[in-house]
Amino acid sequence: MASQTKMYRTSRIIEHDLTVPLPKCMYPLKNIHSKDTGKEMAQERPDHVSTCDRTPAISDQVKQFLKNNQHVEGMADLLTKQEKILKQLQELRGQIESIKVDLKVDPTKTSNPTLNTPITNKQVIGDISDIVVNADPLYPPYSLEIVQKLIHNTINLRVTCHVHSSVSELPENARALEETLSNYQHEDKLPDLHVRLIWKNVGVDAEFVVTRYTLRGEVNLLRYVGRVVPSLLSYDSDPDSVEIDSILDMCYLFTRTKTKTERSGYVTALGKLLGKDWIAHRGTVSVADLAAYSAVRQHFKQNEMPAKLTKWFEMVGTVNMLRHKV
Amino acid sequence: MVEDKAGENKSSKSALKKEAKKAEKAAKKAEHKQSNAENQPAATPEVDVSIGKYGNLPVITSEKKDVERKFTYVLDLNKTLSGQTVWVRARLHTSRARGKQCFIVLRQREYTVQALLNVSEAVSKPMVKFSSSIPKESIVDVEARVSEVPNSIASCSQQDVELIVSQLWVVSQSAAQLPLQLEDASRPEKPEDEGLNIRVNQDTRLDNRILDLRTPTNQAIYRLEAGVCRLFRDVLTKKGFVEIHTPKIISAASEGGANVFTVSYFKGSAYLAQSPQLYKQMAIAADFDKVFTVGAVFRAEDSNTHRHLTEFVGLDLEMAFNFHYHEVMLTIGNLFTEMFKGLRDEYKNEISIINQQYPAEPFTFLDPPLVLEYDEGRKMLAEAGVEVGAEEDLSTPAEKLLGRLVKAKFDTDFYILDKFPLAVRPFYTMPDPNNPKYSNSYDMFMRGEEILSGAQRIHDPVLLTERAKHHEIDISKIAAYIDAFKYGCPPHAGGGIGLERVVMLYLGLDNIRKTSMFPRDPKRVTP
Repeated sequence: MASQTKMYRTSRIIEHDLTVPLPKCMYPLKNIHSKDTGKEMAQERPDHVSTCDRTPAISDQVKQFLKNNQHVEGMADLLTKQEKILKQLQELRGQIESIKVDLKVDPTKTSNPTLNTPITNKQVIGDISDIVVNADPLYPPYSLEIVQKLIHNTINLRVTCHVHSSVSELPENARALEETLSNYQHEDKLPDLHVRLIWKNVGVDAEFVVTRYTLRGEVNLLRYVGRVVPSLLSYDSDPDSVEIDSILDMCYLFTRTKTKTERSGYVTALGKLLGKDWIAHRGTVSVADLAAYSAVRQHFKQNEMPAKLTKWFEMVGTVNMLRHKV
Repeated sequence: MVEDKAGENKSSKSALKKEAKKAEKAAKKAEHKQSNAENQPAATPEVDVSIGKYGNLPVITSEKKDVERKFTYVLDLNKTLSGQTVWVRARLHTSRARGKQCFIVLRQREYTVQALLNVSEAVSKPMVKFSSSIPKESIVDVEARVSEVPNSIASCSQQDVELIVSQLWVVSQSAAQLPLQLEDASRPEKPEDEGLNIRVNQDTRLDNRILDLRTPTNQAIYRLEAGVCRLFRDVLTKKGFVEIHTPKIISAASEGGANVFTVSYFKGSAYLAQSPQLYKQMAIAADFDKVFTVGAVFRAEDSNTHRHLTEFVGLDLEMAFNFHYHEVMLTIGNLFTEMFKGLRDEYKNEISIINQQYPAEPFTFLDPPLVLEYDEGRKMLAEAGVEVGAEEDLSTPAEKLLGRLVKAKFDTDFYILDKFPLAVRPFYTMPDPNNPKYSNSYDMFMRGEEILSGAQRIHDPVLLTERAKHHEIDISKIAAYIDAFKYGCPPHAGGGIGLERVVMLYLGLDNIRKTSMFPRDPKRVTP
């Protein structure tokens, strides 16, 4: 269970093309489903199922065609025609560029949002102005601390903390996290995303309420923030998205382990994936690191940290505040 | 004894029943044998061996000072006292005679214990007969040996011991006919309750309030109410507030003239105070800095609803601040948090007793309390499909809906709504300097019902006069009020709550009459 799980691989449900032994005690009937109910057809395919004939691939066919028709007349015309079209396209591009200059749009910039472009428009985070996070003080959502740092030049993640009546006393580490989160220095110009962190007896899964629905699990909160805030945290188009997803799932399962042996299984698996050069290889901290960081920190004290993860853990914890690159 | 014979521990009800039957048979057999044995010597006059151990005590007229008996509280009866002989003064809750036995349940406030009289060498037949004839609700003195029971007694609060009675005296006898049965009055209000469904209606309860108040639930409600009052005093005193007492007979209506009681005052007439507002403010103008008051408040509103009384206990406070009225608002918010915490931690037992009869979700709150601006509240309502205008007040249904929305999102039954529209607040409310449509005022809500309405008051006589004119109020009538600020007054804000309403909402009860000991409403001025 502790191994990496690939998503979306499903087992085969229906097996086609099985040879069904036909009973011989009955009269054979014509195949009424086939278009050409010819005799040969019926004889050739008595099971009604046709398999694809092995024909040469299209590209092979094209190659073959070109080989055979290298000196065909009209080919030169076709080439000149193509060049003409390309030239026209180039002109069109030039025109658009000049229009851009007229409209005072920086022609060197493209409209694609890039990670480092500061977002000055509140529209980016849409109507969502606040998120309520219910977290158990025994399992503080440490990832918020790093999210706040990571997106600090995109969005001000303003955190206000409350203690719910189900909690009578706040443990030290929860209080420390509360202080770090609420005392973070923000820049004034950026849009705000308000997070109300409520310490509540909810158990291991932090809950978060965006509109009317409650979602559970810190990893899912991170997934959500990744979608809402276009930043380093989004991983939809990441080449490692499958790995990231599976690490997130692993962290989710890890947080709900009960025994030491169960836990050590996950630690080994995480160590294998993250320990060596995951960050160096990717060049950035990802949402997976945050989830794993939080999960590991919830379950181990500073001095009990598994050796394999120590270096990685420090790297995530001291993520450079000025640049995303580690 | 039933319990002794029961022998092994069997927990199922049917097993218990079987046991009881067996025991009954055995008891009958024993009785039979005994009677045979008694009959044989024949006609020997029966001597009451228990004479001097039971009967009616003379009325206690404080004749003697010395302590005859040292009483033990029912609450303290437990296994550790097993085997000891104790004296208990309690009410006879129920008694049930069966052959030569009599089971009595003794009650002291919400605590009950089973007592048992068994015909034996020390206890005579007439004594058992006497015990079964004492009317319910009489006060009795009982001398008894504490005895452990093998199977816990589910019907009593002291479940692991019973009392084996050796003396029984009636201290004060109750009338035999009770206008309401305490069992009926304390039956849980569960919707799909099978079995007995007899309840006592509100008016019967209120007409016979002394009896009704004896139920464990009512005992707990008023203990908790006292707690709210005490916590209010303690928390504020710790914050440096001073308790003041304001007059209840006043010469002019403090908040408009409509809902005020007029009383004849010698040759003229006076009014009963609707709120101590003016006097709190005068105390601030007189440099008391932070004041609070606890006292009766009168409202001549002819509304017969579940949440209106014509007389209630007002807990009011007023506080001078330095720069921003949020200093006061957050102090009040914190006061509530501290009170809720105190109730949660110190009144667990009371709350659970009340919940047994009136089930309610436990009261939730946040520390620090949730503060929403009026506009945010409006936005939440709009998302749920209820439009409230920018300068409109919240209607009661909108208030309740907002309470539900807040509860769903933040899981808190208490929250503060800040920055109400100026148009819906009284003339003395300070307008918001940043937006003339809004005011520096706030409401606080419990379970979606408003419990406190407060604001920064205008402390400048010129501005106050201007605002009063704007509201078309006759300046000559409020001259005394305006004059209070003539000689300099610190900026201040405050608010007030109704004790009964806070207790009702904290416990999730459905009627304010359940939290007022002797409620006053348009239709009731007795008892």
